[in-house]
Amino acid sequence: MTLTISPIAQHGMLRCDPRTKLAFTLTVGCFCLTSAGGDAPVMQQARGVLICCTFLLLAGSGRLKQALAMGLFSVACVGLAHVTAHWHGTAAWFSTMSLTMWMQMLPSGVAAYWLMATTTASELTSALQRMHIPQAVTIPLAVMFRFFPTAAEEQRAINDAMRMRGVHIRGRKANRMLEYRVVPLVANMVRIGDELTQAALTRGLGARTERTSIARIGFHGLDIVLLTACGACCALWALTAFGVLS
Amino acid sequence: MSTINDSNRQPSTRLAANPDDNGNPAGSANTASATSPARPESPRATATRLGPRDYITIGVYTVLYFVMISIGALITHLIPVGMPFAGFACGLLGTTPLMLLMAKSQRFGAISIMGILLALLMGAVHGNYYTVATSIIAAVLADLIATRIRTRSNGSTEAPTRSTGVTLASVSVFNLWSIGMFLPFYIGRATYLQQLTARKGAEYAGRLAGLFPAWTLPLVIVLGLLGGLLGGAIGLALLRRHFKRAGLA
Repeated sequence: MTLTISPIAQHGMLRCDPRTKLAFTLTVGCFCLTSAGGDAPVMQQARGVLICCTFLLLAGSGRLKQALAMGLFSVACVGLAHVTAHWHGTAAWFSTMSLTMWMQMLPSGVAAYWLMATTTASELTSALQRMHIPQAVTIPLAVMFRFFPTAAEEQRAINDAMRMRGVHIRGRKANRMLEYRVVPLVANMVRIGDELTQAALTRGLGARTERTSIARIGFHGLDIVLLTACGACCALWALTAFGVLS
Repeated sequence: MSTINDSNRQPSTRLAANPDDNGNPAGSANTASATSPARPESPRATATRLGPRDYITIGVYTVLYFVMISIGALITHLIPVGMPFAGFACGLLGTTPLMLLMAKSQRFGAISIMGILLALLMGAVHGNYYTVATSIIAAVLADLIATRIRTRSNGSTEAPTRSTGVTLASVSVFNLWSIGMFLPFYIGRATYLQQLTARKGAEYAGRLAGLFPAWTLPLVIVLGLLGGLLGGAIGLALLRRHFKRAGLA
């Protein structure tokens, strides 16, 4: 499974505004990762709904295989957690630690993957621009969106090259790992970054006027549904916090 | 420098010079400063505002920083008692990209923007909202140290150089963002442990509480500073050995 952000992101059937995606990803992170709202039964149900939504969204945006794989993985985690709940000692520490970590991180990971896989840099930039976020934040963010896949790709290539030369964990030159891995990675990334800078400035990135974009963004039916769901989760949280619901 | 600029800016050449956003002609800045260190102040160092070129650089280095600290965090989280050392490992591995950024973009703002981006990423990935606050605060402090001390100490015509001590102090302070990861154990400790018990079982909560008794907060802070310092030393060595020669720093 390679995480590539193609210039034409696959939207599949479900097309959302980047702002909705951001709000949804943050909500999933807030309630599933940080488990805001404690463990009131209502919140547990809300969390379940959110997790289901995440997987459905990923599947609906043309990434059915990935969604199924991650869904199976999370089901396996839940099953294993039931099995290992009765263990004691170091094995229990390890298993609970890793399983709970996975189970907690997976939903927000899936949401983040959905966000990255279905959003192009220009869509993100124009959405953030409409939110009146200054260029000092939007440009680095767009560059980061563009660069995480590049970094992974470069890292893989360097890994192969260095493995051949014995620079890996069990190789003869394991002590040189930091130097021989980091230096080429940084050098490559800087070079790519310089080229990217030239290209972006040539296309008028630094211009004072407001940028126009052909990216189609705007709120539609699905956005309203998702935003309402996010709002409902926050409302439930507030209600449980004030003791209205239990 | 400003007078030279003003005399150069004839109305006819104003468009071609593109004065604000690109202090330098493309790509030549690094090689020029590497080959002739005795050159008077370069426009890059004297201009006060960050341009799109710097923004792109910041994005690139933030990605690198994030990749490195992810490796550090992964290693420390796989070892059962390694968790308190997460900040230390982040500093050890992540400081090299930070120092490259400091070498490349010497104006106030670069480190702060990196901190804000880090806060956004950590808020989204780690989900701990103390980290958001600490990374912004630590980054702004580090930025102030890195830019203000330098300009104050030599306001003369010498090319502005940041002393090694200031650089190390700045990266150590920047690395203090990592204490945000552990702050829930100290602030509102009882409720956090209660939540943990409910979520992950009493054994897990007890173990974590054993790892982080209340007196360890100064220890975690010192570890964070130390990680930044050691990472800075590694970064300096790498910078001198590789990146300066390649014209990247």
